[in-house]
Amino acid sequence: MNINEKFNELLDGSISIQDEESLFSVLGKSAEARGDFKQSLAVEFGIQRDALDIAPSREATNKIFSELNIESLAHNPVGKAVPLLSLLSLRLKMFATAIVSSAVTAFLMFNFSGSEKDTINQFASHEHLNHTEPISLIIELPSEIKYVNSNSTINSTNSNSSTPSQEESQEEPQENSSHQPIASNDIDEQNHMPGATSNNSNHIINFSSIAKNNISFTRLLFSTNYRKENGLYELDRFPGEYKALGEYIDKVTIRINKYSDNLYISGYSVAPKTESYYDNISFSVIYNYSMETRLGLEIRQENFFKETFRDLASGDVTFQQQSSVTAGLLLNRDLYKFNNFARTYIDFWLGGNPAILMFRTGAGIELRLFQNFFLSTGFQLSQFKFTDNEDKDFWGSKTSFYGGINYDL
Amino acid sequence: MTNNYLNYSDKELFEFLDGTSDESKLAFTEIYNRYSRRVFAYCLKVLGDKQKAEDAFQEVFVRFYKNAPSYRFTSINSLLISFARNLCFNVKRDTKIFVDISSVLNVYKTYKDADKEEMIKLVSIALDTLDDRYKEPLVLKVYNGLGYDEISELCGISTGAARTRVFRAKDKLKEILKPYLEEIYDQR
Repeated sequence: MNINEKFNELLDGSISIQDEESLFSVLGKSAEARGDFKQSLAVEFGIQRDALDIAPSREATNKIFSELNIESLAHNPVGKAVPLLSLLSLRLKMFATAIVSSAVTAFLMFNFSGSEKDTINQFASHEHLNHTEPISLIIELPSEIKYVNSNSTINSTNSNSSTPSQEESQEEPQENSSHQPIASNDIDEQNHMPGATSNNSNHIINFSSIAKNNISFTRLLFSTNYRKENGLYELDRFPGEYKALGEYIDKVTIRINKYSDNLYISGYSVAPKTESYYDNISFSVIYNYSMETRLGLEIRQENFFKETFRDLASGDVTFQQQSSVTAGLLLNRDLYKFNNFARTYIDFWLGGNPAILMFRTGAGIELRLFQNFFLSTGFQLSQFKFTDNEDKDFWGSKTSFYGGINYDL
Repeated sequence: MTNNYLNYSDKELFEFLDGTSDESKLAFTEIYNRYSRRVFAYCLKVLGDKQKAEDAFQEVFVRFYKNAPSYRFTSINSLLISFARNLCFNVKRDTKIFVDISSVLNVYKTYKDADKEEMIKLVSIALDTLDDRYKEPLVLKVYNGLGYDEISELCGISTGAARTRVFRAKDKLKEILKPYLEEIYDQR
């Protein structure tokens, strides 16, 4: 029996039962054979371990992926800190995509907005408000509107978009008869509801035009997730390791969020509003079709302004804040892995409904509840661009906090 | 909708390789993660020079990605190794690489009191001294995880010859390292 041959067969797992018995018998009797076997084991161990220790360098990996123009997500045996410039360069792509996608949204949005001009112009008849007295701006919830009359509503689009609360209000006149909706120039009673005053009486905000968008309107979301350079960046995309990035692709994320917000309009102080339960709920379906781009649909109820009431004598203006559905929002999301149970992100939004331009930014965190369910929470800062009756830009802002549930299909 | 590339088989990954799509890139990444070590190990062991090995290694994956759609799927590992084999042998043809067995002895002298880590180094160096006829089947078997039938197909030899050459390679390593191994086991 060639004992070395049998050692190799034994280590290879190909030895026959008979030869194995014979070999063990020899090993039991011969110290020399045992010494020889130990040497074979040592060599086998050395080869196996040597095989485990071999890995290509990071540079070699980067060269391959760079030459193939692939964003490297490969494992790396060695890691090192990311230089600041590298980090910035990684984010350039995200910002570049954000700019492009924002431009597309703006184009789409302004096209939509064109149809609103006629509505907006209806405000031009309110020349009597060009006085120097400060006016009050009062925002009401739909449920608080008691005096809306279809004949005296500012613009015709509003009557087409009556909500149940409006209809109810038409049947139940409010006790406070000092409130009268503006109907063209028909402003005949005073109103001074608790709210805020403006120092700029020349601004008549075209909130009525915003109300036109009471139909469901889907919004497109585009987002770009910048890519992490191979092994350079510790902040990884969720979930898990590099390899898990692939899991994120071709997945549909369903997102339901509930927002709570406060509106601020420059030049006015706005009465706090009370949200109804269903206001500011968003439902999104987002398809993560590549590592860099997401395409989705989102419907979000959001409070916009529909009715305007004005006290001619005092100049007080009352606005109704009403749920609407936003449209045309672009989302650029920068997503980071925090750990295996959380992912943090920064959002950049641009969009709006046909009557309003909106910029948004925010940050949040998504925590894995179980499996593919995530609890999301964060804050959002929105800037709204209105246009007054003199076609001047008019800005408002809104801070929002939200919570919701995400599910990755 | 679930595209967990980790769970895809080699065949499924291979079918994604069209050279352009995002799926192709992700599939390639997964393939790279699975086989890069093996391919690099092959290049390094066959060429015995790290820089040359890295050059060949890079070329293997670039060629693989660009040409994969034109190949019929058999085994990604075998396909990669066949690319590596051709490249490495071209390099070897152009460059004579000599490994002096005395290097093993030098390392041995340096590390004669050494432990397992030194044993690994010695084995690695000793492997470089082997003739390619024996070294390559051993590398393919141990470092690349190929079966004897795959080795025989790649090297153009019979399965029995592949097995024999792997065994001979181990015997030769043992022979080269004998002084060191005997010293270790004599001390115990």
